[in-house]
Amino acid sequence: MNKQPVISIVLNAHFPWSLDIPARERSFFESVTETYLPLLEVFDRLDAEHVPFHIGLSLSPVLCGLFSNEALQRRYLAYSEARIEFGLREIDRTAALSGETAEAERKLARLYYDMAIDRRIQFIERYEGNLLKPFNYYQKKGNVELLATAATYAFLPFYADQPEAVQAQIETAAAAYRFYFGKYPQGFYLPNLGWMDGLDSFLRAYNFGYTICDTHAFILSEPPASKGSFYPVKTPSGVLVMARDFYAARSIESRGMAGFPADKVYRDNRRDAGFDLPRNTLSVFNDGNGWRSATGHCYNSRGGAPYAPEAAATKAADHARKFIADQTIRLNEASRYMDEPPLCLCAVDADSFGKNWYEGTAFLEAFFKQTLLEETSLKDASLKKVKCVSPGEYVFDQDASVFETTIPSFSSASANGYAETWLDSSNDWIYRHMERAVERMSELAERFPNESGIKERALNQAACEVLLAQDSLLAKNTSSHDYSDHNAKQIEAHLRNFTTIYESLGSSHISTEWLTKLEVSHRVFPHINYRIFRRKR
Amino acid sequence: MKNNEFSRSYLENLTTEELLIIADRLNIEIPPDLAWNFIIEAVLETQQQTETISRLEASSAGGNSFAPDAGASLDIAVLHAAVQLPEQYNITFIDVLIRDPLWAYVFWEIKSHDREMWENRDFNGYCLKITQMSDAGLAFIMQIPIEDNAWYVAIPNPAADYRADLCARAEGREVLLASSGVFTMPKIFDLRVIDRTPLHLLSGVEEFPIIRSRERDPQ
Repeated sequence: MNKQPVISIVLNAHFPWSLDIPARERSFFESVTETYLPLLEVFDRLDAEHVPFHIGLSLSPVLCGLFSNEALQRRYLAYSEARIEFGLREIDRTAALSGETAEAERKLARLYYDMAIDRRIQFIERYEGNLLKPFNYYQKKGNVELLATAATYAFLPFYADQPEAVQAQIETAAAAYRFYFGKYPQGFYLPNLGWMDGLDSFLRAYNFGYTICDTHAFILSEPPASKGSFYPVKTPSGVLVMARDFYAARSIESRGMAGFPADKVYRDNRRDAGFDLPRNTLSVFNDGNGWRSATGHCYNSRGGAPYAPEAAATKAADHARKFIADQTIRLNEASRYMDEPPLCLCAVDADSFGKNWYEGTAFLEAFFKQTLLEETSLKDASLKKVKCVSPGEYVFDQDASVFETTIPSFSSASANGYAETWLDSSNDWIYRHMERAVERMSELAERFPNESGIKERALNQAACEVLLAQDSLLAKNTSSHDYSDHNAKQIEAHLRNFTTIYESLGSSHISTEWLTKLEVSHRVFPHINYRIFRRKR
Repeated sequence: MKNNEFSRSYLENLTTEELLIIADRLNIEIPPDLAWNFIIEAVLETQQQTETISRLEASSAGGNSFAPDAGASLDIAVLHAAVQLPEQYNITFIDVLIRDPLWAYVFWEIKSHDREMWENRDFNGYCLKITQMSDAGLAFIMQIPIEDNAWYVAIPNPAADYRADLCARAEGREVLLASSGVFTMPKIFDLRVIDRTPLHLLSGVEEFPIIRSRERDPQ
């Protein structure tokens, strides 16, 4: 058996439905500008240079809905024009500066202005405003493997006792995937890597071949996975499960700022000009009346010195080499104890590359180029070189007879490894209402199995509101997330919308005008069918 | 918005420097380099938790250039549904969500008809009973205040099956009102008993930032 060690990178991308909340919409635009467009730019460059890169990418159905929403695309265009205008103003402002750092700021202002223009061209001319097109293009070319994930990125272990909720999340996700990408997905990215015994049977029922857990789910599995995180296991229902590599993810994720992103040479995204300049200078973004937000103009490095892009790019390439070297040594060591090719599955949030770590995409580009090189920076020539493949390519290349059968343990990739991020005094109020909403939605689906016309529209919207309320990013506790008050209100609004429809159907009267407004505002899933909440018999 | 509170929209108009001054006046310790949006979160959270805002109002009455702007309140632009969320669903139930190997969140409701029926008899309160299914004799019972509807319960043994029962104590007996489904607490991570094979060590078992068994240890 070929025992060449494998590194597989999987990015997970999700964003809550944003059209109702201007501040969140702005945050989404920042993700587009700082993460998704730079990521696609890296793909374009690797493709042009014939670098055979392979990566896994999970785009949540909600994010796909945001990418393909034409109203949002128009507003993003206006936002990108505001960035260009702001860039011009920054060139003027920095021209008048004096002092030690003035020249550095002038250069950066010019750089950011040029980049704002490039981003606009990239968005509107190259990708025609819809980022799903280039991602799908690279999927078809075999560079990107697109994984499905739950419809609204719900933390599935909380719904394990409500099969209708889990099946609604998964079925909607599978339908959205087919709608956007025209094929069936192989892999399912568990939201927040939240796993509980029993979820595998749902994945099996929808024909998913594999999923991903956090490492401790394997160590505490029953029986323990003898190969640790280095090899997939099989659940009793036949779903293959891979483990996120603890060390690889830790070195890349910006959470806690312990890994590469904490290096003092990198750009300090927290020191954005949008948070420091007088309000009137930001009027291009908000007409002088709105809130502050990031502008993309950051003039300092994490160490406090003026930001030096060339030095940061060099450091990103150094870190890519170090990352490969570290994982190569670990994987070669692991291969001494196993007969199969050891796997390092590096699963991280997409925003780790770009929005949270500005140089992250440069790191990724250097990583793919470096893995191609015959001679790495490894001192020990006896080490086997790693190869880089997508998770699906790896798992389906293995001998199916050698997977251990085990049940991974309840776990997640959040703080302390379990569910406290979604269950503390700040957010536990949600679940009382959520459970009843799921029960009531199932009841509606049973009571009205063959509706059409406005009643069907109302039922579909009710299903949509229940799903939207289950978004785990909205439910995160207040200590771990910003926009916490927005989030709570948004969850409540979805539940209230659902309750309104539920009660309206009970009284056989619903306001068409209200329903139409809701449909327009929350048109998330193109072909949602409320019957996904019917109880399976 | 109350008159003496900083609204989110007002805070979102301020610079980092101005936010730090407000945080300082509210006696909030802001770690160095905390991002702008998290400073806002810290201020908003503190406002909810304390009444110190009134002291700030008093101190800033004389010409603070960024006092709260009553006109800047932000109502989240959600679609306004006609109905509020029910305070009660008028059913009797008990459910459990597992938080981690140590804690479960137990929540319940007793419908008003049941409440009236039990509380007007020789009533001695409600109680929660957590039963370990694999050892039927092992159960612990907690008296719960009438007005409560949720508790975080410390579960004694990880990796075991349990059931939660909601009971009323009346007329000298204990009456079952509702039962949860059986729930399985996760196994807890304990380095003293866990396999530490070379592959497990290379996987990072000694460094996982997860809840460990020592957190039960009173020492």
